[in-house]
Amino acid sequence: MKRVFHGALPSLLSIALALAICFVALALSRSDVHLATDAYAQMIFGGVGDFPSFTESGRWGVLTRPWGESTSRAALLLLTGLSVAVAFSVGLFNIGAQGQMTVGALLAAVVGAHVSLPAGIHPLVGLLCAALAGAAYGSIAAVLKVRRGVHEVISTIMLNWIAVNLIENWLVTGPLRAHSEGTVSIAGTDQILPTAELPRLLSDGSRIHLGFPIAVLIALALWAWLSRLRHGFETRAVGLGPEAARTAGIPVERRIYQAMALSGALAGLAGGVLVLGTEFRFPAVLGAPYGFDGIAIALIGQNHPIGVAVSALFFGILRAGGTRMQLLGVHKSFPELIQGLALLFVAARYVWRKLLSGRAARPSPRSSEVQRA
Amino acid sequence: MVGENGAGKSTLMNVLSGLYRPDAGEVWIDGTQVHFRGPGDAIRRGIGMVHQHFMLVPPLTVAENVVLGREPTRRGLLDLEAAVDQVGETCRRFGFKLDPRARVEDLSVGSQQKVEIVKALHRGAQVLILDEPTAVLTPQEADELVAVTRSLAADGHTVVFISHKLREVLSVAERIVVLRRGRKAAEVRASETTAEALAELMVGESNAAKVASQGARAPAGPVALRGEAIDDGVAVHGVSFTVRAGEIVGIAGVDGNGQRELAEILTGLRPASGSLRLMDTEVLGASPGELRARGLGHVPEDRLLRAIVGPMSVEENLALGRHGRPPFARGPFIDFSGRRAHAASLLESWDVRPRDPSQRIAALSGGNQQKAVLARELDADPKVLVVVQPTRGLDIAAVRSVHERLRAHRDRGAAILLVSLDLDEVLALSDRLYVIFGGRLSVELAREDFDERRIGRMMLGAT
Amino acid sequence: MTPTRSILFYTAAAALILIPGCKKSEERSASEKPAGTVLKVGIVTDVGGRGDQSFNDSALRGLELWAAGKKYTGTGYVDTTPAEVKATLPPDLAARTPPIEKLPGVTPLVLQSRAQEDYEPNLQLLADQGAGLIIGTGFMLENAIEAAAKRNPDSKFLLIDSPLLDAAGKPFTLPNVRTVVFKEEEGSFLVGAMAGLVSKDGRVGFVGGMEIPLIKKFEAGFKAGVRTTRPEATVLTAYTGSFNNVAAGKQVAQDLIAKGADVVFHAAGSDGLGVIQAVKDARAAGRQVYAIGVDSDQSHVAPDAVLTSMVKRVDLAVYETVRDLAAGRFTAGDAAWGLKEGGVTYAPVRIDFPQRAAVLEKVEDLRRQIIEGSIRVPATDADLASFKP
Repeated sequence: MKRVFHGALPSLLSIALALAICFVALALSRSDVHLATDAYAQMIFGGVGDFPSFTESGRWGVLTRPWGESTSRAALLLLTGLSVAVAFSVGLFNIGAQGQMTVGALLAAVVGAHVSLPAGIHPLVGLLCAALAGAAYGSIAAVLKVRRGVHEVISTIMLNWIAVNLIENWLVTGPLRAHSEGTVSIAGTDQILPTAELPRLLSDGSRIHLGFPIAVLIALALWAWLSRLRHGFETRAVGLGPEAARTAGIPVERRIYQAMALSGALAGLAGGVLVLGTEFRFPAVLGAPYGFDGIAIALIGQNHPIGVAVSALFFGILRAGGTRMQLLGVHKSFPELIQGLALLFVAARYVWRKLLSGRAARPSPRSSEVQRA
Repeated sequence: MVGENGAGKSTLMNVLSGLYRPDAGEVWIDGTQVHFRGPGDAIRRGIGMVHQHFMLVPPLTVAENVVLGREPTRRGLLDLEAAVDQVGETCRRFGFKLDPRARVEDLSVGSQQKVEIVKALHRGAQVLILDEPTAVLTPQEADELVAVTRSLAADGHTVVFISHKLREVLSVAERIVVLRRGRKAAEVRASETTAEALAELMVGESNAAKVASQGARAPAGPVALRGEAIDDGVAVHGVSFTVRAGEIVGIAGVDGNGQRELAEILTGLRPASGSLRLMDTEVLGASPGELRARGLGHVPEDRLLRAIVGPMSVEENLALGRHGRPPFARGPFIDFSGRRAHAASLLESWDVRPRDPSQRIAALSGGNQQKAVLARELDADPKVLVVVQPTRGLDIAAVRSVHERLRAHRDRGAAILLVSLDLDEVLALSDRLYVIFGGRLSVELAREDFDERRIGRMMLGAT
Repeated sequence: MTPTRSILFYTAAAALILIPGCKKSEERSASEKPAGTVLKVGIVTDVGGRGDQSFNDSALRGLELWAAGKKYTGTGYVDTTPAEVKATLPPDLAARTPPIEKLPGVTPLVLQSRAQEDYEPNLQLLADQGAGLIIGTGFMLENAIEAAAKRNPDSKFLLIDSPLLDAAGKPFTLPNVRTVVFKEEEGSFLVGAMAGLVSKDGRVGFVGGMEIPLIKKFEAGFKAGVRTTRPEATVLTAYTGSFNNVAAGKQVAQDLIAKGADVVFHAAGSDGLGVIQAVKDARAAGRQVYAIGVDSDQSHVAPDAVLTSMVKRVDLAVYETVRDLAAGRFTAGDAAWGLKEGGVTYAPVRIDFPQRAAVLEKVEDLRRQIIEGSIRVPATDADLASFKP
């Protein structure tokens, strides 16, 4: 337990520092500390539930609705974060979660709108198709890497652009645009059928839907896979020492293919959750850049599935709550600012380590014991 | 300076070169006490360190590497011509034959080391620290290095030469400091001591007997590994050999004659044509995983790259390669308690220090890492074992222990193919041997034909 | 103090600052509750947000400046005087009856959306904050308004630029939702007519954003206008495929200018800023070309180059809906605002050109004919094909 805390400490301190800096900046820019405290309070109310308003009015909605907003964002951040973390476990830096997510979202939208299935299995089929599409798209980068030695950072960035231009700028505004009458415009593709919607857990009380529990289960499963299963051990070995893994008889290329496909599947699943959970169609523009946010979430979560889950939930809450800061005139991008700063500090975690361990480069423990003896 | 692995040689040198700060004690240079706050301070005071692992940028030229960090400029722009001139001048002054325009990655290991030394001298080093400089060199290169060191000393430089090859130290040094367990055990004049006496001081025991050579006790069994006309078209040409159960077959040769590539082919890491039969099954082209499943063990030459996964724990590294079998796994799951228990017992029986299975293996000293690798490979009880440079960088006690265990493994009926650049080692261990030169194997030599001088000539291409 | 301890110290210090602050804020918000009737009106912008100098800014003007009499300063609101508000009104609105003036008690709540998926929660948040009217600017919010309106039957909603649409794309109504669409084709007709009269060589250009039915309305109206005043003229048409790519707008407009267009009308969102830039550049190079802006009066972008703008009175639609609500006259249903309702028009022409007075007179004459119904302006390609001036 102590080790877990120590491992998470750099991230926790980074987030705390980012929050503190933004707090001070906010207070200074308005020369008003109360406004900053108000804004932070609003952020908490908007992220985890408006308790004052609930005690005042007794309406459950003000309490439960924020849960829906934070968890639906957290689900997306978690899936894309895991996508990045899984690729990282095999030593690849997947910048392509955004593209894989776009592909997944499109497939979910098409399956949701144009395939008739019973309510129980329609969303699952939609999510499955989204995951498969993402996996296929992610595998392109893996094939290029293994067969041709193309660096995955380059190929995934390019594949992002291909996905965005092909899907958002052509398919969604062209052949797959929603049907409408006369001169009316509808943004995005056809609305999905009601059977394809991810079930809402609190019906009308909140938008909290099945996506978040699914994402959390996946995080747990990935954690078990990476730390408990032989296959996960092999995957990590490939990431940490590919030549040693090869010499030890681990099929390195196969593990890379599998991890990259899984990474793409998770990003594709994020697209499916976005479409089937809240948007009910492929929108004109596919939401916030969750695929890129996933990189930040993974790094802040230190590429550990549980760490990623915690960091995704935190930033989901922050973002959902951050909207409410606008009621006090705080700019809409404030939560992203906090996230960006936190990432910056995490990236500088070498500095944290130095601070925390007191002294840098000490000789190995054994030799220092000897010196003392 | 001599001492066993983990005796504290490298740590002490890192203090002298400013990488570590001492908790107590003083460092004096030319009668002045100094306090280094970092390697930069040490360099300014004329200390140059040549690390065991070279700190060079392979794609850059010799001149670029040497001036790196203090590049000559003209009007704010990099002046590489001036760099070439300056470095050429330094090389001439100290008698190094190096082309300043050559790329470092194209140079032999010995030449790369010279670049490191030139780099230190170029920065005005008066005190040179060479950390196990001959560990990576061929015998000829090592001889050359000894000569270079002598001439630097004659030129007025101070050289600290770290090694655990006692003969080398005796030939290069005036005074020898022996470190044992972080303490100075002795300081002797080279002219007044012998290798045996030094060995005794190092290990602290009086039974540091010379590594004995023992032949196979039982006659060798059936052929376990047979290569026929193995050829990769690049470095290995038509190699045929046999290894029988219950014998150690050595491959001697000067570095760069195809032994590394041959080992890679035998362990499934490199494609080749020909035939390779493992226990009468054709296995050429099989993956490393299949070969392991068929009972082939492999101690690779490049430990950090091929044998261990540095960021993983000792225990995970001990499982690597057989992590799918009990006691390391139960079905698809890792068996944590089984793995931990097995790892702990291996650390104990192989005397790997520290005895902590959860320690990152990268934090272990090289010798202890190598012990862990051998522990893993021998513990899997392979029927055929390919061992490359098994004792490189190990101290005398560890070498002896490794040799004993390899022999014991042979005596249990395993076939061992030993590839080593250390002729003494090949001669000490092998029941038969081949010499490799230019990618081709010599005729096999039986133990009674072992003749150091003749083999030495064969290694240089004479028949 | 070791580094670890100093970090803990600063964390604790920050907490100590925060805790009293929280307490204070409760007191403050309690004391700040104003007396009298307060009408909270919420507005959710689309992803363009505040400062788009177009659609969203127009809606915000209608609510903040006209209805609430407040000016946004970047960090909060300052009150304005009626004279200040009056000065911002174009002549036709200043003369309007009943006059546009501050409505008592109106408090604006503005939420900007960072992404598509913010629309619905933002609308819901405003409903939870007790907003009496919630405005969604842009057809992109159609889905979100539908969901929020169904869930909050006690709140009123205004959706700009689109009716409510069911899954099959058919319009329908809800008892608490008013929607306003604009007859962009009518305004585009007038600027088209003007373009036809101003053009020297009889070649004019149209730059659209994405090729969607909404933008097709602009194109059809514009072409019909040109055909009415200059039957032999050619209209060169191009679409950029986006609404947020200034460079694409510039590139496309340069192409049209090179092909001889000397008046270029754009309906391309931010891409249009590139169109105006291209026209400005061409003028600097000695070409006698003009741009026609869209949505808001874009004259300030390039005063020499912008002939006029096809203005959508989003501000007016917002203002009048707030006024209806304040007066208890809010009605649900779909409205289509054309020239007659003052929903579309062209911005004052501030530059001089040959026969300026005659041109403007001709355009005003056409406006009357449209309002009377003697000209029916086409809104689609099909209608345009059968349109006879």
